[in-house]
Amino acid sequence: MKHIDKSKILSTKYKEWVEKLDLEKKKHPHSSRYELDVKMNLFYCQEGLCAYTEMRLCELDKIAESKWQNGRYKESNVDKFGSLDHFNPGLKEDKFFDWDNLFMVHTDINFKKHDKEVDIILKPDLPDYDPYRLLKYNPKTHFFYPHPALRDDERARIDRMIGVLQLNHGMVRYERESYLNEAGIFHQKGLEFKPDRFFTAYQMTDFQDYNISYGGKSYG
Amino acid sequence: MKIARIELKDFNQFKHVTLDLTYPRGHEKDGEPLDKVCIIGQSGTGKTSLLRLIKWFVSRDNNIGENVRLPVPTGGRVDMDFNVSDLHYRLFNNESNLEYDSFGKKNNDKKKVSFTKWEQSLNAALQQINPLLINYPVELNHKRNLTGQQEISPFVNEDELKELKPRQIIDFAFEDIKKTWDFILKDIIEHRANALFMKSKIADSVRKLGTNLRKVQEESGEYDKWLSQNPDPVKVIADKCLDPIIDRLGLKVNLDISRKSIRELGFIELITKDGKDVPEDFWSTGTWQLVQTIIPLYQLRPGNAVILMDEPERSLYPDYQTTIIDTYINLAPGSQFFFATHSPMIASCFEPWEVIELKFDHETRFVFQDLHYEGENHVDNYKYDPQYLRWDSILQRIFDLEEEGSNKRIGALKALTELDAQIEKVKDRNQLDSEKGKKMVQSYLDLNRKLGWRT
Repeated sequence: MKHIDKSKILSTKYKEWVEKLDLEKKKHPHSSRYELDVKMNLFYCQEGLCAYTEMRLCELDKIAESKWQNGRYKESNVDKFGSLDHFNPGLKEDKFFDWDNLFMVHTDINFKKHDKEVDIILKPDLPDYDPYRLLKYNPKTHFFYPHPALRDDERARIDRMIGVLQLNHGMVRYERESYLNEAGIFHQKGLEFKPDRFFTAYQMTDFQDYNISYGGKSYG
Repeated sequence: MKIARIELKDFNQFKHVTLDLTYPRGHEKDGEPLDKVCIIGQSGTGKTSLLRLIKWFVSRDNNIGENVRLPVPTGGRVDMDFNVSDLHYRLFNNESNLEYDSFGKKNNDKKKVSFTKWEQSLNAALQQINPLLINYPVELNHKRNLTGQQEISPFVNEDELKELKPRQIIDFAFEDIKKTWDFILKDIIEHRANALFMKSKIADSVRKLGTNLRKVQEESGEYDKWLSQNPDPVKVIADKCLDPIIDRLGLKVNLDISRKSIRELGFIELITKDGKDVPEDFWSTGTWQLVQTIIPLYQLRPGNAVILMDEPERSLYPDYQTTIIDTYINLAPGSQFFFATHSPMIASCFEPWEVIELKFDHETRFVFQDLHYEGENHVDNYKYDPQYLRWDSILQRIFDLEEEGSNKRIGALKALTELDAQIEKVKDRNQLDSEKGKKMVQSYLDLNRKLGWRT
């Protein structure tokens, strides 16, 4: 789960609307008025990836800055992909459109996460969130796990959040492993490989030492 | 006759789903209806309902059971597009009947001919191709000898069954299918009756003529000549089709009819490799499944049928499942097959565009089609090809199975990950030879062994 910088707001009309609501201490209405603006701006910040699993959900051409005009996302006919996730589901009731609490995630992951209690130790848009300090990746089992250098209590919190955010969900592990196998073949053959998803696992994998089994499973 | 498209609106859990059943762009059959379709999806997503709808639409289109009420509730609508030769037409439900919604020549939609003229052309085309519908539901009925049972099929009445002709339906959902089987096995029954008659004539001659061997030999020669001109259809189906398939079951078709009466000739009999009778009551469900699905296709050789098979994998061991689809397709080239399955082995027999995946939307619980391509429907845009994937990969990629194994396996993989990290730590401290280190390595190896040395 890579760090996400959510500081660049392209859907400024949405931002103005939500700030006004907050200023007036009004509950956010469940309106679809700015929903697409929010979703596409999140995708812009997340580079089109699922915020937690780093699976690709949105192609980059759909989130080019030119797609915004006068503070609104221009296109209306966008394929349905991913779901709007409220990181802390407790805030959903009153602050449905709270920018800091929103992420775009894979629909199945969103469904699984549902209203589970969260811990900000793994909140990808916080300034001090650093996946390389908090997580490690095992390229044999394709599981993320808490960094062994951390204290036991921290590791326990991270371990629980790995479960909440579905970082080791079977479907995700399958896709991630397949993708790393692809990368491994490129590395093995000395070909250039530019990852466009699963960045964290890719960065944490030593391809010198990576065993590819062509069935998609490796042991070594 | 082939179905090119199905659109469902407000029908059961289908809010609005359009199934494109044609080959994608970039395919040599671009735009033509698919030769075979594999419908997959969680239980309750409507696979069997789709097969039933096809049965209803096709059988009604063949002018059977004109007053049959279609199973589409008021307010719901189902459209089906059919291609017959170079003609195409769309049928939709209107209350209890079907109506033509649009019709015309293929690739020439704008120039519509008059309805009467078009309908005449369609009827002529249908006469020529003799379309047939064969339905194999999940529960294949093999009770051929029921008496006193009423036909429960709403489509074919007793009179029609007497002269079952092509353009009609062979439906193994019927309560009493004896007449259907009599139709399928007509050639076999006739041949065997003739053979028995001729054999009894020879026996009579021997009895009457005593030592007039020349006359007996003449009649015997006549029988041999007839047999060479009219090969035993049971031997043909045994040699060319059934025996190689049931060989793995240790069975073969019985070709000896010498001890049988006419009444017993109506069906294929099986024997063990050393010639012992295996009565039907003791056939395995898999044996029934094979014999009952293969014989109609072999005997009728349908060239333009719509063939429906719900769960073709039923009762078949996985090895059979890997080859059975090709067997069916080869027996009815030119027909259109619709399979509904839960089996990765069955799914691996299909090109990616032939797989129709139905899924529940998490939020609305309506059913939608999960497309396996991105962007345009082009052969190059399909994400996965089940023909090239491992069975377990098909389960995860095509059938959306969440995990690769049981909860125990996933738990063991997680434990292995943690143990691996601990061993690395111990290794860094050069303590792998310590008592603790040795214990850890042993646990690591044990866990790997449990996981089959494959993580």
